[in-house]
Amino acid sequence: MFLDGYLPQIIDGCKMTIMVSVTSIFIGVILGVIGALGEMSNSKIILKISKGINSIVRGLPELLILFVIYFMGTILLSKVFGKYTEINIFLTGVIALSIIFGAYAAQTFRGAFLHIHKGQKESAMALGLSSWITFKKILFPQALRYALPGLSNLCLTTLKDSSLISLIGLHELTFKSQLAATQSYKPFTFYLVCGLIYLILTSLFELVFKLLEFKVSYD
Amino acid sequence: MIDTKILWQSIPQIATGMVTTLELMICALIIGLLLALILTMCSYLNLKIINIILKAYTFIIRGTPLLVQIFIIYYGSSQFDFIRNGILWNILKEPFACAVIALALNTSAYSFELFRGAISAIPYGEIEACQALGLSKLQMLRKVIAPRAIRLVLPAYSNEVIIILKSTTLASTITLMDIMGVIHAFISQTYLTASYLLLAGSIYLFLNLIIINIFRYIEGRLSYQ
Repeated sequence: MFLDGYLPQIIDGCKMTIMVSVTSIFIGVILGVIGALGEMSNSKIILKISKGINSIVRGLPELLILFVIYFMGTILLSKVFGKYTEINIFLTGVIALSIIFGAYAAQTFRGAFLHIHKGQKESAMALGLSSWITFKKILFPQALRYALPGLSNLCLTTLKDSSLISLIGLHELTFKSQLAATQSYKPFTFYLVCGLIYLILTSLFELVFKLLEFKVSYD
Repeated sequence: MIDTKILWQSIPQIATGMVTTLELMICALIIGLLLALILTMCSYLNLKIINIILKAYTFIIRGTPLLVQIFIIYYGSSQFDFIRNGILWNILKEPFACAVIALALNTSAYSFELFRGAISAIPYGEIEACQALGLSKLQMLRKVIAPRAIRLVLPAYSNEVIIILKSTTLASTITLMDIMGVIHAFISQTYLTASYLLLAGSIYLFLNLIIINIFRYIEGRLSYQ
């Protein structure tokens, strides 16, 4: 029988992996923009805080960040509700991955924002646009264009890092493969399949980003 | 909240965990560096088949999670009887060796890309100048290309070293007692979750700081001034 009948399980795992990664990427992009704005802020305190948070997150192992959020989240929730409450694993994964994504994306976005000519902002001001409209309509679309190649790499990293969430028990691709591997006594087969699926997924992500880059390019 | 006495008692075990982490990192980096250099040499030959193989290698290593690679090497190798009865089993039954293999393969693929980028960043005029001076290919590599490429690649390579340090935490998933493994064991024994996680975080940040400073020092020594 093909894959000993574990195929539906593995497909379920795939869906979960994609869901976790895509959610984390969306939240991570927002965090990244906030982080980039923080690092370009005029206020010294905001600058120091955002730089500090950024280098701490980038310096810590991903697994440790995941564990911190999992364990501390559970402790915090238990304190709030007055009884033992475990934090939702999906939520833990999304928080951890989006924080990691955000920290790296902040650097990418900062580079992209610095790449935009100063005259763009000045002409927007001269036209009397509010700072929010300037950001939304003028700065962000241009920054996104410069940031896309960097973000594409980060998305691949996030997709791969999502395998770590299997360690706290989220039923995603790696977890399901592990389950199949231990139950069927065919670890090599199932981990190989798992690796192949990750390869397909990363290739798909890359393709999507190539199309996006093509779409937003000037010509 | 932070119980210093229990934390103090766990210092020796955490220190041994730190030694394991550093051993893992250094073994993986040395093997990975050698592999990456060999791969770079191979790409230098400019043969079509070798280039395709190299591309496939980096595509596979960079496209799959390290965790899955570690699982394939450690758990996957036990599926085949010929491996279990062969000489290779002496290596593949050890979690440490498996973790080193996975980390080394990983870093070799990433460093190879860095090295190739650095070599292609060297202006072609310099290579032509070497040829005009009548240097042999080896002399050219040793005297001109390598020194320049090393300077170009160092900042990016320091990032790679930090990534490997962070990746060693995954070795704790195959029963190795590195810093993460020791901390995890202590958390489940004592329930002093916050203190131990804080401790682990500070150790990793401290190790990062050391690595960054070592590379700054090397870069300073190697710079033109």
